[in-house]
Amino acid sequence: MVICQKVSFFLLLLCSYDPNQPTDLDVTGWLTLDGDANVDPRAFGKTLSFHKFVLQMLGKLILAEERCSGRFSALRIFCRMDVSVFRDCSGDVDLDSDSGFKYVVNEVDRTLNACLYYASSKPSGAADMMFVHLSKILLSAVQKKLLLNPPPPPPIRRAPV
Amino acid sequence: MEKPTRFSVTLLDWDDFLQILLMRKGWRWDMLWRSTDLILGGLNLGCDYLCVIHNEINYNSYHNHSRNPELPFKMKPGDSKIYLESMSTLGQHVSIWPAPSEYIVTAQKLETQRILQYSATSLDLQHPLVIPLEPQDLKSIVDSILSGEREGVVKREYSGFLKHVITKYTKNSEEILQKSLEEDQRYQNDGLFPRTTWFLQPFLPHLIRLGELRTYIVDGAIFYTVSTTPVDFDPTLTQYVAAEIIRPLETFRLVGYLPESLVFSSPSLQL
Repeated sequence: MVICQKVSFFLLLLCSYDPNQPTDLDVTGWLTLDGDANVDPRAFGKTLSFHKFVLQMLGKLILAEERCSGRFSALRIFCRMDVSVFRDCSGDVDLDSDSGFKYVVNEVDRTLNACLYYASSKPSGAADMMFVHLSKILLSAVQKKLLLNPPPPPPIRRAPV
Repeated sequence: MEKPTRFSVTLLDWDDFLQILLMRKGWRWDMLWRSTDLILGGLNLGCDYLCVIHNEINYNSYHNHSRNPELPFKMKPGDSKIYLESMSTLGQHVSIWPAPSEYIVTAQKLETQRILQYSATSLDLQHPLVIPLEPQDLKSIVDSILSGEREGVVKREYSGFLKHVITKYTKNSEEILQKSLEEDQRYQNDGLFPRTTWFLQPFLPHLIRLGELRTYIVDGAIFYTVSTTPVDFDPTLTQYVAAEIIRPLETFRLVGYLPESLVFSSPSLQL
């Protein structure tokens, strides 16, 4: 068991994810579904370090799951990540420059039972945009047979050097 | 030929769907796996796994609707095995989202925490330590939490809606523990499911006082984030607001230490 954990950890260190460009669909290497390039940019967040953390963790989780199970991870399609945010004790927090935060993921849900808190997304309509995008992604996954049992994991693309 | 760009949607209620899967024959079963591209939904294993499968509880009681004696899944003993086998067979021909295995992965909270630890460590970040507990150690650990000797939370895998979460604020913790261990022992004899594991996590008071940020991701893109806060220190009751600006929890301000007086330092984030 210990050996497996060490091997898993070593594999994680070897992953090809590029933390410097976490939101670039062409570079990250773990997004293989056909994303919609025309998503309203307002749907994306405003705080860089939080989003960078969330997407980095998502990339690692997907790689870990797929390497352990040998199956396509449903995290590629949809998930809700519950995160705690802390002040970094080593330096001052500057809310404007978005530095000095620390984050911890408490829980990850990837099923239809994830509570959406739909009403809070109404001002920007972000949840509505998410549903439209989700239906496109599901259609793409069906066409590529990624959701069949057991589907193979998608190939991992290396980030360009 | 041009690929279709939209789904044609058919709603199938749970009774019909369950009946088709339990029968596993007839024209409706044939229709399901020959003519369907995608099935959305299925049995939720994200709540108290053992009890739902073994049909011993009223699922609705979790949501304070205990007056309704009807089981929402309407499965008889033995049905769960046939259901899971049918879903597995069906899943070889038809795309199912979420796959039944994904519900099981979600229920494996200890494994999820381990993967989160590996992922955080590989990014040179910290993650709270999680310690699996042996059944014989459970009582002493819980006692030490209740007495204040230890700051921690004890949780069980394959459970949900805080049914198997014990903190120093939990009432009837001994009863919860005893019943769970008895159930676990009884269901092991079926050989269908693995033993559930309890584990110890650090107690994070901010989860009760200040809540957390819940962010929604589709296809690797963040669509929106919500800040949720328990009402009256009860994690089952939640107030929430759009988290347009991400900020550390310390920048939230508690007035008089009453949860209902929680205010935000930014006017745009007023509840």
